[in-house]
Amino acid sequence: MERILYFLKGKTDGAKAFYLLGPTIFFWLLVWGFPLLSGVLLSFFHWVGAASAPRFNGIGNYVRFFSEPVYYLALWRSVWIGLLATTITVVGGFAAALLMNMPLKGNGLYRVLWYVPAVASVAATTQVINIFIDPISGILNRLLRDWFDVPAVAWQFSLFWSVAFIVLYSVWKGIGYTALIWLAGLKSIDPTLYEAASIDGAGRTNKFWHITLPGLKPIATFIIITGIIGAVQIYEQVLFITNGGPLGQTEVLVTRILKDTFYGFNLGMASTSSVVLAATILVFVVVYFRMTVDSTRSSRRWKARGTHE
Amino acid sequence: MGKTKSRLIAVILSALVIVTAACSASNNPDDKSNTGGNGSGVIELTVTPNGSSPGGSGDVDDLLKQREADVAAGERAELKTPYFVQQYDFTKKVNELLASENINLNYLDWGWDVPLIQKQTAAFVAKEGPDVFTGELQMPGFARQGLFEPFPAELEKRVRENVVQGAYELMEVDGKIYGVSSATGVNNLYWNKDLLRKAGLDPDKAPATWEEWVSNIEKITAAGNGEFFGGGLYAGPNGGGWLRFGPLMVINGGYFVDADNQPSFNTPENIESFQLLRDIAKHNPKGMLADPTEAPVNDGFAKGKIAYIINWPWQSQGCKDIGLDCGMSEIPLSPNGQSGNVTIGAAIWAVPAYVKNKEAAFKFIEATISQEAQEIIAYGGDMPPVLKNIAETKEYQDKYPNQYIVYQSLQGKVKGLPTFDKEDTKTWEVFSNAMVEAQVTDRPIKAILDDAQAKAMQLQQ
Repeated sequence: MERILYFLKGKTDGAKAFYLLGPTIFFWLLVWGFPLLSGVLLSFFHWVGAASAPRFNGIGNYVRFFSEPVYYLALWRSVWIGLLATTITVVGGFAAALLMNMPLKGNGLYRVLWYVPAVASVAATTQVINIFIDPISGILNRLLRDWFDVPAVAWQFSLFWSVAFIVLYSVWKGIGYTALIWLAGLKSIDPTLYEAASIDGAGRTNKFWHITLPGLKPIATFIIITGIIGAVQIYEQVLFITNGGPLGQTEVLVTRILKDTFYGFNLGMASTSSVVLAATILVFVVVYFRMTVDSTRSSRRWKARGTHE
Repeated sequence: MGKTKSRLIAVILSALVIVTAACSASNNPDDKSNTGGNGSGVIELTVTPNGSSPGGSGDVDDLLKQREADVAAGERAELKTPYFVQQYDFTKKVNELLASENINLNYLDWGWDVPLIQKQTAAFVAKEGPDVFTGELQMPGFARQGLFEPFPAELEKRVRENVVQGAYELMEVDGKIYGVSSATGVNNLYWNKDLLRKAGLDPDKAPATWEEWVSNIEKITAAGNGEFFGGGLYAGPNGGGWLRFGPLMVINGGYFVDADNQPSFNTPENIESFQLLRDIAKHNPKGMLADPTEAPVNDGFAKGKIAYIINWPWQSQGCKDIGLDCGMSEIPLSPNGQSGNVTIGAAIWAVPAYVKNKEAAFKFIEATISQEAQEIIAYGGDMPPVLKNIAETKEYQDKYPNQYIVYQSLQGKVKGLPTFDKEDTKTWEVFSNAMVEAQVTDRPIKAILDDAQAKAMQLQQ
């Protein structure tokens, strides 16, 4: 360590940063940057079959993406199913965090229980859903028959129920993690603000709207941004619960990428789909930032006025 | 100048870190991919194993020793069952045969189905990987793309003369053989005798015609009153569904493609087969046979909830293992149909074109279809052997009548699943959707198949 410090002594800040970050940046470029760039480049090539050579195709793949329903509908489903699941998870997670923040006995255990689904295997836990909706000996159909004398429901062949189970599972899986992050945000709010508000005569509702919510803004940004990124990439639960059914109506873009890559060997279209997916996420994130977070420009303006750090 | 020098040093240091990491990453003792010597004159051969693997990756000598230790410790009771004993014996024999040729066998377990296909695709693109591949549905497609090495003339001659046609036919492209299965099967009809008894049917009588089969299914479902069903076959939107439904098309003179390998979904023969599927599905809970995975149907049969099932050859042993009283026969015929089938459970061996020491790789394939290895498969009882001189003996036929039925089917009109010339995955998706639609909607079958055909042909443009 002393040698490193001695070596860095007298160097400019730029050189120091270069020495310290260089290996990491180089590693990143090699392991992530190059594949990322390759993916983007590949999206402009026609490459079908592991034995064939890539052929430049211009924007042909992109034209195909937005003209073939199998692609643009998969993207649309990724967006609406993913965002539906994420919205419920974020709101539900916030409610759970408020409960977790209450001074209850055995609070630690309670928080652990909420978090357990987040660390459970998707492949294993989605099977629980499948056991419920099994067409032969599924628990749901047995309950309907034995308790309500209702005929069996073909859960897997109803778009409504297929989406409902995907969303239900996604919320169950993600709510613990989201709640924990919300909780960290709640804990980070300075308690003296609440005390001061009480002295000023503020009620619970006023404290919530004027202290809790503004105090959670940075955490909310993190949760929503990571939520959007995860939402549009929704994949595993779809694969294991409906596998895109019924009749492809729940197929999302990542399952399409999987099929194009490993079943169809259509690496060009798979890359195009990946780039479109990344662009979609970027658009959502930028729009969210624009709508909710102070832009750099306005921060500078406030700073210049001496009203904002 | 000083700044430039400093930056240069930093770049060199970074490169060193990466190179060191890369070197340490490749220093894996299990990484013996692509044939090469180990300095002692022994040729190292790496193979992706199928179900005959004793489990895991590594030097097969070590894997076999580990298996022996596990059996001696008595920790895993299943290791003493015929299936696992056969796995062990087969691997041991192949390993011995290769050792006598100065080849050391290594297994690289890449799993099956999707994980295996992913890794194999990556290996083909990189032109680097194991010396022998195994697989099922993906293998004919790989062969059509020219990713495998054709069999040498002598091995090809041996295969054609000694091996049953159904074990290599689906790996034939332009008259050349690119792969062979050391154990393969076809679909047959199995039924739960107890459920037939409960429905007042003769438990020992196989349905001879489609009409009789549908009638039996209807009677069983009626007798089950929601507790058990007639079943029939799994026909879901995936390879499992195509493999089970395919025989019904072949029996009726239809198939997935025509002689030019173009989709032929809406032929009159196929329309009749789809109509049968609808008739069968009608007497079961809606969508039961079209589930996204085959597990509910297979589990339903194992748990005595489903009477009839079309399944792989080892279903026969599976019934014995769980104490289910099962009947078995060839699949019933349509009014104008002839015996026919689609292979299932065919773990095909093939040598990738990128392999350097192809001679050693083909030695492995020779070992899997050798007399000694095939006798182990034959007398393991799960699957028939592929060598004609074993299966066609009276001794074998008397001892394993059910497996001989499977073997006989391998000699007849047996087909594998085709690989479409273009957009293979999407074309199969179109077929899958037609299969599901036939079962869960009332739309006329002809309209469903006409639409599917039009979509499939569009994909072939």
